[in-house]
Amino acid sequence: MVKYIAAAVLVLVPLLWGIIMAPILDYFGKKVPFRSKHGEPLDE
Amino acid sequence: MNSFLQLIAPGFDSFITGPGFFITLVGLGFFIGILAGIFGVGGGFLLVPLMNILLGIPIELAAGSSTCYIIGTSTTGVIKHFHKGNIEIKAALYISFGSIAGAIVGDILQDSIVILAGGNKPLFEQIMQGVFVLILLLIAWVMSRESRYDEKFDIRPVTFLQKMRFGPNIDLPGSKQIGVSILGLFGIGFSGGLLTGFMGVSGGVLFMPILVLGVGLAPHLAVGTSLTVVLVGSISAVIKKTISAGSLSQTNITGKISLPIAISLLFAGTIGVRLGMIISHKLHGQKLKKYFSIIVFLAALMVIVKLIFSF
Repeated sequence: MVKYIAAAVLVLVPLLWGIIMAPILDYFGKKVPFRSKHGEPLDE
Repeated sequence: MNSFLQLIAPGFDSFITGPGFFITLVGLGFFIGILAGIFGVGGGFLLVPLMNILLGIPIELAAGSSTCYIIGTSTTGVIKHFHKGNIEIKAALYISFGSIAGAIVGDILQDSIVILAGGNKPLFEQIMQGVFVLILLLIAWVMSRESRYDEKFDIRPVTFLQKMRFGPNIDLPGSKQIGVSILGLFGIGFSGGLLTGFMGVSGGVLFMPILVLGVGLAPHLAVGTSLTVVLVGSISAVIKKTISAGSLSQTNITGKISLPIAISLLFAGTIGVRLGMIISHKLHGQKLKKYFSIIVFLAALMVIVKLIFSF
């Protein structure tokens, strides 16, 4: 039983990390828009 | 409670030496994250040998922890690509089935090498390092040639999976491909899952050219589909590795994955990847991919040197 709980923890912790970080990284990604070295915006 | 901690955080009684260990790990995660972001790869193939060489983490645990880390990074990517409609759902489904099977077989293969080495950990490490050298050299070769497939995509040749005559076929409307072999898709997923379960490498860097040239997916769909398959394969590998932990030992149940290591890598890695993406757009990172193959080649050389000195 302890192995199944450990497996759930090892899957859910990084999964939740990814779910939480996705909007945060998107927000900061928009703050720093992708631009080429010539200055054209590259992120759609 | 003690056995639970041994399953999710092994190593505190041996190689984990204190805060300095985790600070180095965070730095490593950040550095690999930036490289991964610049060159559009997962980075697991560099993380595992570098964790082994620089921090002395046993390769089995480094591979397991890398698999756990991949779940976090690929989840972020899958969410982004799902919102943009960049996932070829049918292809992802069949490749994922293969990936689940491959991840399970990969972990069994790793256990088989432990048995073949007669429980001799140094010999096991040497065999795994030898396999890593081969994989790193293959990745270096693929990356040095990778820029070519973007141009080839416009030609839309009859792909390898359309030429396969056995098994049922499916159509992939998102990429305007018809008659793609389901068994072929399963086989691609199986190979990627095998790498994840066996070595803690997502295989994304090898998936991309296969999905574009072998399956005929549009490059933007190949990225989202590849990440989805990598996520499914990593979850399967983590479950398999945890449930089978200690199966080779009658007395000692020690996990193959360390959550503190995975979280330390994720902490700086996710920020590093985003920073790397911003840098890549400023530097035209696609054109720099061939230089990345030199970094991978140097990592292979490091493993070779370590291997030679271990004899």
